[in-house]
Amino acid sequence: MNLQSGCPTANPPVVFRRENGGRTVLFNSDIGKSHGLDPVSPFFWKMLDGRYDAASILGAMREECEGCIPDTAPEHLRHFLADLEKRGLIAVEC
Amino acid sequence: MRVPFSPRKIDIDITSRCNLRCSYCYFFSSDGDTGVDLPLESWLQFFEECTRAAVLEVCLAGGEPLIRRDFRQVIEGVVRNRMRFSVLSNGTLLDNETAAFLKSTRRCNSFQVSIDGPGPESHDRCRGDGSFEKALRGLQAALRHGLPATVRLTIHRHNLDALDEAARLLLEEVGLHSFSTNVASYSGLCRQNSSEVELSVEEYSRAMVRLEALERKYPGRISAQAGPQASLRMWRKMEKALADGRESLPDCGFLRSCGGVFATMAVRSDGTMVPCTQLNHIALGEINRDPLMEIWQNHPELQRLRERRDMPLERFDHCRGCRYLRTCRGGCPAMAYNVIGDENRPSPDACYRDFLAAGGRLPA
Ligand code: SF4
Ligand code: SF4
Repeated sequence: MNLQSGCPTANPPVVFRRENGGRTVLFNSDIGKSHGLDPVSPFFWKMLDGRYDAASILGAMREECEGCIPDTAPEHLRHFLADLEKRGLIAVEC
Repeated sequence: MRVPFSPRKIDIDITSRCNLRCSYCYFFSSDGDTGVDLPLESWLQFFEECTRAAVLEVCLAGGEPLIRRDFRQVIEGVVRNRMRFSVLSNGTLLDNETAAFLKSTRRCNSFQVSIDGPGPESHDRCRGDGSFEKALRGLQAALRHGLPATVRLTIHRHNLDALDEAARLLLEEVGLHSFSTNVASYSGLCRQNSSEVELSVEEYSRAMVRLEALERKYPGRISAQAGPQASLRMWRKMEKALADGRESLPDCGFLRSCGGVFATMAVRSDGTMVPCTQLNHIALGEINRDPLMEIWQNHPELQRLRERRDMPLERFDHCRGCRYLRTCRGGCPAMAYNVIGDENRPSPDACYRDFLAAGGRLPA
């Protein structure tokens, strides 16, 4: 599985949820466990539908932020995807 | 207290039918007892809305949920919609096949069976002849198939002296890790059978003594959110605070016993959304007609119940001058409604001062 060129997809049993105070979590309904997200990651999460690879997710973010995304964004996304894959929350389709 | 965007959990009375008629049942003759069961399609449609609202769990109760012939399809709908589930059951209709099916879904958080005593004498008295054997068989089927089975034991006049034996049966013989207790309380059918089943103050005090001894014998294995065991925990805290010279306890002095309206909503078997299965007289809207999120976020009745936590106890004549005023939380709103017809008042069944005045005592 290649997180750089592949298009990650959220695993079907995973639910994205906003909790008190805007905190967001991913809930894996198969095992009943929640995983907290940082404030940037919900943007990434919404694009994990199997149609976008890492480069296009960053491109969309750049567009959303009118060109000024932090230098750390690619690294942040790489970590985020690797972590979700390790937790069984996403799979990479292509 | 902040309210999440949508309820985490929805308690659903999936049916208003039951194969038993327990004499203290909170459901029958309450406003939830509508006699109407929505068809499967309506529930499946509602589950889709639940998913869109990111509801994580449903708790299926009734009536007896397993009485529905399409119970499996209901569960399949829950699973398909990425939710987990719990079931509150009398256990008598759970067979091996259904237990295996529920286990296979991997989404069952708990399957609760009601067992009220160590044998038919204490259990069947209020639940009907033959129900103990069937409930125990159901519980054993659940355990055999690896379901996260739990037991709820409702304390009443006829099982009070059988608590030790019931704990031995459940924790030693059946091998449950734990079970919970509660008490027959003034709602539903219990209102009609109150003198027959409800504990007197003296019996309530005795139940506390027995439960405290059992907690010592089986540490951490018997829990309660209502009834004598829960009252004992709260009232001991209140006494200790006074003995230590502390004037108040955190989150006390206001009507703050209930946090339900901040995380959970409920639906009656006829599809009416209500704040809680015990506050089923407060109709908030209809499923598949009124948007769940809109009701959850903006319904004035829900807001009113949420604001209850800002009502100081000193506002109520009954509480004025009470030495426990700043260490008390006023009890469950549904019980307040059942007993005095107003959920925005302290509940008489949770009033420690009244309990003492009526001759009640905490264990020595
Ligand atoms: S308490 Fe439960 S089992 Fe008994 S009649 Fe009511 S719904 Fe049925
Ligand atoms: S009168 Fe009863 S309900 Fe009111 S504060 Fe005292 S103990 Fe609590």
